[in-house]
Amino acid sequence: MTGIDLQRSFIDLFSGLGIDPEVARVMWMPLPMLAVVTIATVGALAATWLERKISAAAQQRIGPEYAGPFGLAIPAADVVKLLIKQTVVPANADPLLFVLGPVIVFISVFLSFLVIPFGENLVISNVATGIFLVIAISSIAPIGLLMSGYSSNNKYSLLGGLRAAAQSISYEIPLALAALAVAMMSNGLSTVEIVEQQADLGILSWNVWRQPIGFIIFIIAALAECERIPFDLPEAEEELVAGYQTEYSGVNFMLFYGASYANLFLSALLVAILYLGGWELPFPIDKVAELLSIPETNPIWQVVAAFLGATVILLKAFAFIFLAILLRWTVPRVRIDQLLDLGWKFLLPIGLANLLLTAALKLAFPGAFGG
Amino acid sequence: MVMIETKAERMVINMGPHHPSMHGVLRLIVTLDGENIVDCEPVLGYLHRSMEKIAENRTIVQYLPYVTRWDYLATMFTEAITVNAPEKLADVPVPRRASYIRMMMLELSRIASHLLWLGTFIADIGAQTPFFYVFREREMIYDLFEAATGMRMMHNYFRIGGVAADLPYGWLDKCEDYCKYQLEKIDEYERLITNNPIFRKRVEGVGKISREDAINWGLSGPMLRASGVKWDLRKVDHYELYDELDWEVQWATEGDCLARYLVRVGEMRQSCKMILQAIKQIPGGSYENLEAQRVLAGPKSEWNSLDYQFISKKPSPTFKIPAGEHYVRVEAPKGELGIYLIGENNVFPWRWKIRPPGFINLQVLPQLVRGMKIADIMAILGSVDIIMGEVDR
Amino acid sequence: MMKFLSKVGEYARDAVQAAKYIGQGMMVTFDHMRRRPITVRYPYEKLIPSERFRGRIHFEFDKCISCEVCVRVCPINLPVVDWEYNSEIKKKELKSYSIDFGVCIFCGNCVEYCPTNCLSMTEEYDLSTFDRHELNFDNVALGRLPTKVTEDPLVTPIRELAYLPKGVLEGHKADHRERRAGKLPVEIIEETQATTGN
Repeated sequence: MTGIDLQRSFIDLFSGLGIDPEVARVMWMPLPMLAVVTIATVGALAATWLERKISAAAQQRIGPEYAGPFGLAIPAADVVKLLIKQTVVPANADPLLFVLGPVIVFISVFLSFLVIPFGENLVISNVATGIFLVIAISSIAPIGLLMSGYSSNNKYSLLGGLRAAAQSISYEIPLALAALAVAMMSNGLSTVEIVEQQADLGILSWNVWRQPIGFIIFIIAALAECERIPFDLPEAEEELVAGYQTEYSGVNFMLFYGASYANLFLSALLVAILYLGGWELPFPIDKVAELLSIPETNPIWQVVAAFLGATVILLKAFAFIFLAILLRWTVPRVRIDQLLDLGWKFLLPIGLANLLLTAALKLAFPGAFGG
Repeated sequence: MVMIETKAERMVINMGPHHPSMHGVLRLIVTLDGENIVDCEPVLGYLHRSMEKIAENRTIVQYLPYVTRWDYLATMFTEAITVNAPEKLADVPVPRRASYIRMMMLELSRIASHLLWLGTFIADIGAQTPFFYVFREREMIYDLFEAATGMRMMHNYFRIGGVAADLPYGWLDKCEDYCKYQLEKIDEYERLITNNPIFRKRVEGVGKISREDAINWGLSGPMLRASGVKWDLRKVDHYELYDELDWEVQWATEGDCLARYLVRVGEMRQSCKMILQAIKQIPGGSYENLEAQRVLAGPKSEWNSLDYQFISKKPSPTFKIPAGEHYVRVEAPKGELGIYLIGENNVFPWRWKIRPPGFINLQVLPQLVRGMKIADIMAILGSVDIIMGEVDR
Repeated sequence: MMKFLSKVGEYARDAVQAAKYIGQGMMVTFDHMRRRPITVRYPYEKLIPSERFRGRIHFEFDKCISCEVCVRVCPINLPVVDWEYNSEIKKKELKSYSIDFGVCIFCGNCVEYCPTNCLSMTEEYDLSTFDRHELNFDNVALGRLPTKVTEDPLVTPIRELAYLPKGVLEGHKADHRERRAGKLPVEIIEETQATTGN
């Protein structure tokens, strides 16, 4: 399957108009960046809307209602409101670090979207280290949290920042271990490869069946990375007021807020890619094409397939987001020592065991476990 | 062996009076060693409104609207104790019907108070949703209160010798509906909360008070009962007509936050059952029935006797509190709510000392949180169930 | 080795148990998603205040005998009763009467003790103004008729729990034509007379 190549088509189109291919390539370059920012932002905004609506429904409320149909304009209203709000920097705060903190968090989250594929060729950069890159980049975020917690000159912020650092470090490892087991089966770290390796038999070939333990570890660790209840200790409202974001307002706060929901969206996409077959439909779409005797090179079919794939991966991601939101409004928050216990004494050993088990299975059944 | 010194400098953190989980305006000065609490010092008085002094130059009728501002979540109890104190001193009889109405109101108020406690307690440890569920039910109680008393929170309903007005038409029917509904909902809360592993981990074994400690600290109410003391003033003092109802004292022996949670949830169930019984047993039945019987049996019938009145005699605005002094108490949702009253045959009381349960229960907090994690402050404080309005008065 | 395995088994059992109970909790929240929201959208929908609701006080100037009971039972002696003794008719003549609703707590003591029932509670509760002095109602303002939720064409009135039919627990779900719970005394009399046969 070759699929569509947007870059090639774009450059060909402009070359056809008599523009130098090199110039066309330069013109192409900002487009993926724009796309990544747009996708991440829209995803995050949709997640905030879902958060409001689902929490409202779970609590027998209505939620946003008057801002647009079904309150759909409420995320936009949020953004506008935060944009025009005054950005207060506390008098005794370190102004540079204070502003830098949310920026680092924001960038680290949005950068990870570079390697998220929405289709075989609907990916900004198919780097060979894909999933590893995501994990590496996302561990920059705690530095920003710690920075903002420390520079706010507020004790609640400091505690929140420290908690964020401790939590991120503890949960990076099980997250990486779970992803590693998947990478081991796929014989590669590239996100596209990981998905393609789950393509043969539709829903049956998804990694979730071969990696059930890893799936659970990844979900728990991803929730902890996103700092959502039951693991939202860094910003635990009842304890630390708002944790590291206590002193933030206006645009800086928006960066935190946006980054946290973008991070949720990112985690959801990662779950979809690693365990739920990415853009693959529950049935093998190639076979359908064969049945309907459509040639794979048919451009219309390619567009339809790409569109279906992107829809499917978004559906999978939002199913996870729904689960995360419902969980958030169901369970209480764990305590810091219990959080660390869970991370180090439960998820880490299980993650290691899962990795060993995967390796053993891979040696024993090379056919089923990507030998 | 060389030990690496890891002791960090202690951090003094000031929680409150404006903090999301300080239940109003409590202020805690917490000394932290990392996440561990070394010391905790509550600072009170931010909501002090001289409630005792105000009572000394108000008649009882004038003072009644004030009392619902002590514990504004269990309003009926403050009114009950305010009328009980002079009632007992002056030996004013209370008709049986009035007493039944009072019991129903008190138990509804107890449910309302426990419901709100449940919501804030669970919210304090991080789950926000039950808060909305309990408000849904509490709203119904307040609807019932509004129909009977005219206000949702500041009822001004109890009077010396009875209550201000009889129950409105159809009130008992709706109250019955509500109690049955509430019993179902309590099961639902339990499904959501009780066995949740995270909830269990947060409350089990946290904030343990031994039986001796609980008695020595003068705790009362669910705090005391959760520590293994079967002490309920409704059984001990036999006030109102609680003896005519079939109910059990809820108690537990563990003395931790979970035990206090279970005791309170059990009390809500008991209260529902008590109200359902009271609806069946109230002399004269519903108000519409009472009126019909009065019409049917004529003016001189037993339906007009004292037992079927909602008040024995309307208190005059110049009701004199007889000379003498005594202590009256009721079992409020938070514990023993008492009044020490000294009268000197004047319309004003000479002394009006309030014994608020929240204030006495709160003093145990620093001992409980010492050595715990910072998040345990919220769980323990939540389980103590304080209302700053009555703590500071 | 056995000890280790049993420990692992225990761990697994705990984990399954935890998942089960979290799932049970999520079923409760999930189930709520299909229930009708109980929100009363305030300015568009309003609860009908109860019959005994203690809202803004209505004052009937001509009934007042200037006895000042309302002042004496008021927790803060709020009502201002301005009267003059008219020696010709040997009666107190009321000149003006005012209550400051910025201060009043609507306890209803004045209404309860008024000997001539010239004071009464209305169901008006939205008294917000731009200037607090506007809340100081004189006898003319106090004599105005209250606005009613049920008569406002812009508002959907919703009944409170105590006024719903028997068995209905939510105002949105009740048909407005259905009667509230409880019988009228007249009906009870008729029923008893029908059964006893006289």
